[in-house]
Amino acid sequence: MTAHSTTANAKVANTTDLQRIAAVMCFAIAIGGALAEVVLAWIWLYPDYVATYVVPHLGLMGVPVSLNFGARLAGFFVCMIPLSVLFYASHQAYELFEAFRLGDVFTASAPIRLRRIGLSMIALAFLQPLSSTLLGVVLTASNPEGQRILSLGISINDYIIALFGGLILAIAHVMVEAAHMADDHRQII
Amino acid sequence: MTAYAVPETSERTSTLQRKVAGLCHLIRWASLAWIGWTLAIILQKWSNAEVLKQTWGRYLNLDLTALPASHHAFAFAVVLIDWTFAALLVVFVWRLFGCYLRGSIFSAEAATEMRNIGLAGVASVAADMIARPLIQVLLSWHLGAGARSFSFWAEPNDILHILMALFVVALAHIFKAGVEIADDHRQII
Repeated sequence: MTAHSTTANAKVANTTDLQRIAAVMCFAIAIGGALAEVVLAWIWLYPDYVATYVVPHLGLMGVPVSLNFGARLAGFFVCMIPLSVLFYASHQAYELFEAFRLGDVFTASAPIRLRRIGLSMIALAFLQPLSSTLLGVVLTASNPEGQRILSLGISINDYIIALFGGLILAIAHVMVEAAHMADDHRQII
Repeated sequence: MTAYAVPETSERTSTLQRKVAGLCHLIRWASLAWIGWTLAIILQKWSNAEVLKQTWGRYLNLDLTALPASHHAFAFAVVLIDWTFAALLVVFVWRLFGCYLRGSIFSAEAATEMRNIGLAGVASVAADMIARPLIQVLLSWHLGAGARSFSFWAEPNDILHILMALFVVALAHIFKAGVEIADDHRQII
């Protein structure tokens, strides 16, 4: 076997690996998105789940909260605000990996999608604390004056998401260069 | 065309380097601030035994007033070990953006560091998921077999963080393939 054919074989294996990884990512993103929506609807459907999973997370332990149907419906829609941004990012990620799966790696659309994902994650980092604040208002709106809660806090999780967004934005910049190089490569060949 | 390809590419890389330099510094220092913030929170929460007994006692629904100092110390050690995985992630973020700042943007070294970030992210989430039940066991061990608390669970954020980490691993694989294409490109010209 010549050195050239060994390199070619390695590249084919690499491409197959890449397509396999992309297929796994497409599957994980689709399942993750569907699971997030189902879990969210499931939690807001039952007052007990809201009391167990949402109320402590908002720091409302010991505070009287309203868990009637109207409050839960409003809570669900408030949670949908950051989730819809996450769905948008997931959709972009799905499209990105779908293209990779089909072998379209260094195209002009890849950095655009990466930039959209990065910006969506940064937006998500800001929307999550805002939605927590809104949830506090929704769940305590029927309380008498003085017992309604309006609190705004940033968690480490929001910070991690913003950092991830920044990382993806930087990778998007690098991907632009990669696409240019791939273009040069195509022109030369 | 090929005669101009090399300077054109290196010029493009230095333009890219200038463009991403600000973002690189920002992400580097933001990740350092994040890990410092996390350590400060851990030290604040775990250094005061009385506060810890109250907080975890309420969380686990157990009376932890008789928690032995040695169990407290073991649980604290588990938290710190868990933290080192997150710190490892920051080390790789620092190194990747160090590569970018040095101009080693589209290189095998940068692709490896990117993959390391993703793998460290997965390891960090896994460590978190293992540490939580372990801490529960350590804090409730003195209560006897009947009252010991043990539950293994995953939070929605764990799934999101794993997806984010796998996303970076997948991108690193794509960049590795891209670097190989660029190497071929250099060999051809």
